[in-house]
Amino acid sequence: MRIPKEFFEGVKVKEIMNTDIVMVTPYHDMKSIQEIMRIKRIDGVPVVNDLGKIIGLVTVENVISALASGDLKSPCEKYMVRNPKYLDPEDNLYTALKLFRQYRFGRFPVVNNEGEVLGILSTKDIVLKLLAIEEKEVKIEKKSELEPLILEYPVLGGDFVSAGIASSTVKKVLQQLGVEPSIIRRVAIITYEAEMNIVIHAYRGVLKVFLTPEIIEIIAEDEGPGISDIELAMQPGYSTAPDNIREMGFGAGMGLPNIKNCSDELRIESIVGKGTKVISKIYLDKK
Amino acid sequence: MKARDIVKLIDGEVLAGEEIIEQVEIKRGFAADLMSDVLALVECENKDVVLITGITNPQIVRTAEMLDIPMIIVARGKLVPEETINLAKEKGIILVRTKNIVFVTSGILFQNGIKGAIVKGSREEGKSC
Repeated sequence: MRIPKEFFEGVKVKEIMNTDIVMVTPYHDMKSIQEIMRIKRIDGVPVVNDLGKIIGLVTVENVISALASGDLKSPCEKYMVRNPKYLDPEDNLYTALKLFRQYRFGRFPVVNNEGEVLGILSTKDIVLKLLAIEEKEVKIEKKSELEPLILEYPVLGGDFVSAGIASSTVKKVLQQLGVEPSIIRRVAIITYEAEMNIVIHAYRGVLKVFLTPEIIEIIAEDEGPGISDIELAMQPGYSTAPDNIREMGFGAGMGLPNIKNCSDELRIESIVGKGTKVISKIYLDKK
Repeated sequence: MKARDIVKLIDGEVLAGEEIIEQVEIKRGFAADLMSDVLALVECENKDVVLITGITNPQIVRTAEMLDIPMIIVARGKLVPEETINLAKEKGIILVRTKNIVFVTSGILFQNGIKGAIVKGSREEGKSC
């Protein structure tokens, strides 16, 4: 079967690119990027400077090179593809496919005129698009009824620059879905405090939000030192955070109590030396 | 009170959000360096709260974003990092710097009719947050 060129020309890159992307700075180590790729099941991570403009792309091939040299601790600046080829969001799929054929890359970042990364287009996204042509409408409608909406974001320990991005994205999604403002406020506080906890205390973690019409469940799971006495950690004012964290306006022992106050149900599981899992539930039908 | 009038009262320097300064109407204020306290206590459903702080890192903007706080005042004339200013611009939040200390800034606003912003009920009632 041959798909007519007109079909590809009618599809814009911005319509099918994957916008659920993670960006890193040149200082991120290859190990954490490997983790991001594993958790998010992606094979390319854009590298941006302090102004959020693209300067490179770490691909799965770069991770393999670092792995082969036993050098995963190095900053990604050392291995990333510099000034990568990219697509414009307004490009059509035909232009994109020509680029894929020319360079034989597996994915291209999608970058606007200001140099900001809007998404990534991989061959996988294109294949899925082809499959979705006919089934699209039926499928999506069914899905929203049956399955919970799951949002998932990796959070890096010590990454104070990106801290808050995951919570910000969650908030935006809930607003788009028309969730009640008082509920959004509670979710925002829980996710933000949980995200800050991972950034302050852990090595790396994931923030997950499950949404159904009845309940919002927020799970923040990290690999880190763990909490030895959870009851003590729940006490307002108790903190193990170092002074430099306090200078940032956090680490005064109010994180977990804040999370508790905004949750209808809260469970904390922790193993010292391994990590912590915070599970918070908010019921939506409760009046 | 219009955000613009607040800037005048405290002799402030607008670092971000100049374009919305005529529209934003402030009724209440909250002063803190501890962002967890802001998160715990401020309710800003009507987008009418100003946050006064001595902290300058981007987390003040993130905190404001989480709670829909439209305006932040950094007191004591501290140098505000570029990344904080850029984030405020991106999020459409007014960021102002004043040479006044937190106490004086709060006093000026209070004298001019800005009330304390606090969540209905208290922390102990928790679930109302």
